[in-house]
Amino acid sequence: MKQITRRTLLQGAAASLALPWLEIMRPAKLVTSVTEPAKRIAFMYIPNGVISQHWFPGEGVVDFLAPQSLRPLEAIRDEVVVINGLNRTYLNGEPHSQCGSCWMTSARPDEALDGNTAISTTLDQLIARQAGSQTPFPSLELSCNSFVDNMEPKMFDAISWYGPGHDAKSMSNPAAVFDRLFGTAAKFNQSVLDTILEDARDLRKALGKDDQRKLDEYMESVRAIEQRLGKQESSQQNLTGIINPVTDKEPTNRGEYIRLMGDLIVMAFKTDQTRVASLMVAPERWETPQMYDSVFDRPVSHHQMTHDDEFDEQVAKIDRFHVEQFVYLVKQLRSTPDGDGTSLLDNTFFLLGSGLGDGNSHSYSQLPMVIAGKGGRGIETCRQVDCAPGTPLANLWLSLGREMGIEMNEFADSTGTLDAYVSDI
Amino acid sequence: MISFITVLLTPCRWIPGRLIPIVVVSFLWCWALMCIEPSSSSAPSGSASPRPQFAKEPGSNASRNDEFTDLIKPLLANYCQECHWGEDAESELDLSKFDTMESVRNDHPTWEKIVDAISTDLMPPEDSPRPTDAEVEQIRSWFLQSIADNPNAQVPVSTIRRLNRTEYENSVRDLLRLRNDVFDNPNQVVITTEYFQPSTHRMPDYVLAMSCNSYAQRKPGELPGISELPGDPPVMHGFNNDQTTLSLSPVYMEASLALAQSIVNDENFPHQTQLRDSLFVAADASDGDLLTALARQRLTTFLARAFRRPATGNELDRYSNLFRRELEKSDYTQAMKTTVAAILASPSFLFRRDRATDEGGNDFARSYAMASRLSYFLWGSMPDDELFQAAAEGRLSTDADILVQVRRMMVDRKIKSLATDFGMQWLKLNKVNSARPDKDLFPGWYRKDSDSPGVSMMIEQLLLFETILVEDRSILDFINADFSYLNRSLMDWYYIEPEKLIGYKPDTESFEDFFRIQWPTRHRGGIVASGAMLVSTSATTRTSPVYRGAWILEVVFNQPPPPPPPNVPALDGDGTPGKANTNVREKLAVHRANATCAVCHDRIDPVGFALENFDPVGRFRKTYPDGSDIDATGQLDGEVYEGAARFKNVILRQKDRFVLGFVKHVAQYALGRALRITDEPELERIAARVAEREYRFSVVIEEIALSKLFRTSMLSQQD
Repeated sequence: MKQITRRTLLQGAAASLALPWLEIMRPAKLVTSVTEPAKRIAFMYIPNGVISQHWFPGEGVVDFLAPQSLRPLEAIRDEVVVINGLNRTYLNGEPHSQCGSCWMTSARPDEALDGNTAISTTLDQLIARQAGSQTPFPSLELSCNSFVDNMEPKMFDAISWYGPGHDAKSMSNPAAVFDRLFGTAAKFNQSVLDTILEDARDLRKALGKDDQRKLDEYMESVRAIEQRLGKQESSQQNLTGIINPVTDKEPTNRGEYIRLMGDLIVMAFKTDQTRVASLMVAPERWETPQMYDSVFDRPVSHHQMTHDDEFDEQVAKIDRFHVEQFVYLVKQLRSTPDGDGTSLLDNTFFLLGSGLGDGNSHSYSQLPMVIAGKGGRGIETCRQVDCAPGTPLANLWLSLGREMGIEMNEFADSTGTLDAYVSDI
Repeated sequence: MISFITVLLTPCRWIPGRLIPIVVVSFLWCWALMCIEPSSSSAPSGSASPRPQFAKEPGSNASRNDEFTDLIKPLLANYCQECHWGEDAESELDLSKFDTMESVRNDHPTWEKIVDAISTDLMPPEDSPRPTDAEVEQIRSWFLQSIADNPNAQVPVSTIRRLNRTEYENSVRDLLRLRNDVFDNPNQVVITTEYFQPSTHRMPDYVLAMSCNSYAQRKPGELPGISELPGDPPVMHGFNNDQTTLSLSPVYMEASLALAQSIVNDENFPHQTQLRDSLFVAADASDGDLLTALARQRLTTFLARAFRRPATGNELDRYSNLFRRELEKSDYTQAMKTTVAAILASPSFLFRRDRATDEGGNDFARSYAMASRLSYFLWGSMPDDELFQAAAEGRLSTDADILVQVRRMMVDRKIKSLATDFGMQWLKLNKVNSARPDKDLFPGWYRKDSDSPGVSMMIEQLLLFETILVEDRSILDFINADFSYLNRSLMDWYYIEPEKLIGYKPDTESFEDFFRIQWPTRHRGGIVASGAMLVSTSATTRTSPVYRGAWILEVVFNQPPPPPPPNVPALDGDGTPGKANTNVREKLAVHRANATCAVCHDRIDPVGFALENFDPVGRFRKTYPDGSDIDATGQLDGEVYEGAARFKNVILRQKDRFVLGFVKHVAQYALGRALRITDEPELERIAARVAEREYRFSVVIEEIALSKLFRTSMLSQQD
């Protein structure tokens, strides 16, 4: 199989000037040497928090990978930073409905923008608005919700939001994801797009303000399709050799499913279809028992088990299982060259975290957070960062947002940047 | 904007800064939630709660104003003055500025929240003097009446709303006059529907084996080549047609465009659509101008149905032009297919505007909007020709007009949507499908050759719903039905001997056919203690009285308990393999010993205990697996009882509470939005009408269709 790397794509671009959007669309802040690999960021979200005593090192523990849930990280010890002691502020609403939906929110906790919750544009979407203008897909939102008709309200099933009430619909069907990224199935007719957009523009005039906002979702979506058509066509000229990892057989267990969706993100990064991605491994508060292969011999309900301390050991095994999937994907990123002798992992921030600390008590403090990769700027890895008491999660988001090129001085309830993680080296 | 609740909770005198004792926060939090959920905000109305003491008739503004100064304002001064008075008022809520009725009306949204907070005990705080129940009712009823008097108090701010997947699929079916349901919608459990004949007003004694696929498994559709549309999640304690859940992302738009293309281009499509000759085929295929003229003429009719109102000249031009451009590239049929695909992805097809505010004073537009509202409420689909005709002739404005249509629609087979869409969601039947009972403890659940009993349990409940609907029975049958539909598979599962069942005919071969039977015991019957309910509220190895209690409070009474607070363990659930059944009751008692948990769980758990005689897979049991006795003593609002049958008696003694709850469920579905405190007088009036008229199902539907809430498309001022 012919390896397609960022370098081949970009060298091709530099030589032939076949990718004009690079110059047109690139925000001023991001203009860099064309051969410098792009920065990517991906968020892997685990629901229902973790068992704290097996995730965070106890008093006097020296090795940051000693806790049993983190032990799989040993295989990628040199690639990770474990950040302990991040917190969120909980004000009102349902604890589970907010832990995912407000995990990356740019709203302060006291802003009840969406019903009773502080849902607003999430960090990944803010980054996508900048970095995403250079790729066919501004961002990619995936989830491993295998239930065809998941009946949980969307706040439990979405971590990525365009704005209050407007979720970035995640895709959970791997075949459809591959098709969207690399397939030719969706050939959109330009005349049709023109016609319906004109129709919407006309209709909009007759509507009140609230209704216009709703119709704007429609118009923005049609425009997003239009904008992507040209980019995708030119960027896909170089996609020969892409192998579809999706087989006819649907993944029957969690591990297979999570790794497959993660592989699709790696492929999308590798081929520069997008630079921003999120993966929700399961909906929050999901009652449906699931098969955790090689952990239990029958389906169990992760959420139900988190609410009975008799099952702490079993839940910790699920935590560890999720870390193992993360490790697999980090290795995939590490083995993918990305130009200038770097790997994809060198140019990526790849996060693993949850919106709850301890799932049993619905605690919003002591959030789990692991970041792999050097984020394209040589972040120092193989270490643990202990945050000062009360450090908001938003401080990390502020730092990452700035690293990804967003000019901002605050983010949600941030009190500053998380310098212990990103301080200049 | 900061919500009122937040404001109330954060910087208050009695909560010292950030060092909030967890217990206090959690306690308040629980009540805050009750306050936030509009549908759960009212006090139980079944008991002897005092009803409005102010005249229901429109009062003169002067007398309302006097009532405010003489009665209401002194109450506020008495109970709220300490914190919410003057320039330094807590949470910037200065009640002193309300001097007249007019000032209340001018700040109606704030008052809605004030009344909500007072009537749910959120305010005043616990350590302050609190108004008596009668005083609370006085404030509430005065406020509601002053709104009722004031035609300008409610501001229509409704938004346009995207069709959800069910509505989309039904609308496409009806718009293109497809011969079959072409979508493999996982929401539709029962596929064979010949038995459903509402015009006979009678459900059959015997329902042929239904070729039912397991729920949520997609069956191959009649148009095999079509692509998928993402489903829509429901809102919390609500439905998936709620305007707040129906957002539209690029992924959705792409799916919608792809689906529209794939429908018209599917190889089976020409055989499925009955519009083939009248829309998609042109006899004379030569002359471009003639074909364009023909297309334009045909599109006039088609667009009016697709947009559910006559198209404007601009719209007609636009889609005719698209056709003309496409015709340059291909033939008439293909150009028309592409044009129709564009229409299926157009904003006026995808979005319902039937509750939009710009109906204005235009009777014509209002008529079409009403036609759509009725059809999406009752059929989950677009209006039929007769509704369109009625709209065009202005025959949808009087009560009599509306009743004619509603009664006609109720005997149309499309009324099945009320069962498969509303009923399915109301009873949370889909959750049966995600149950995974432990395979060692309940080996019979998993079968090689047939579906799990869960599928039959869902159908059992759907057939109950359809019977109450078709036979226009009392909605109290949802609690107390002495009949049901069972197949052999379920009879065996429930340990019922078929020979002893009235209604069972043994001469049938099929294990899956359903018989209308009389229950031999009052344990069963109705929605409470139905197999579906019992299974969907259990963990893999044992029952969960918490989930069962919460199910009853939400489904039966429409008063869902607030979710558990943060930082306080909610001890329940057991999904671990091979775990022996421990004594649930004792375990939960420990939990409720915690005062914070007890606030809500004293309400929830005892309700669920009454169903302990049913195991996690819906079968009756007398002892726990370890041989210990079962204590099925339950408690609802202080009334103690034992077992499911007596529990149903208790519910029936509170039937007004169930009826109001049911009316609210249906209204929420009909309106596609959460209910508000200002809706309550109208909903209470409807519930009273239902009680007057033998609790008939049809009265619920008719009264909602006739109600101000449904007809005026008014929403209260939003937050």
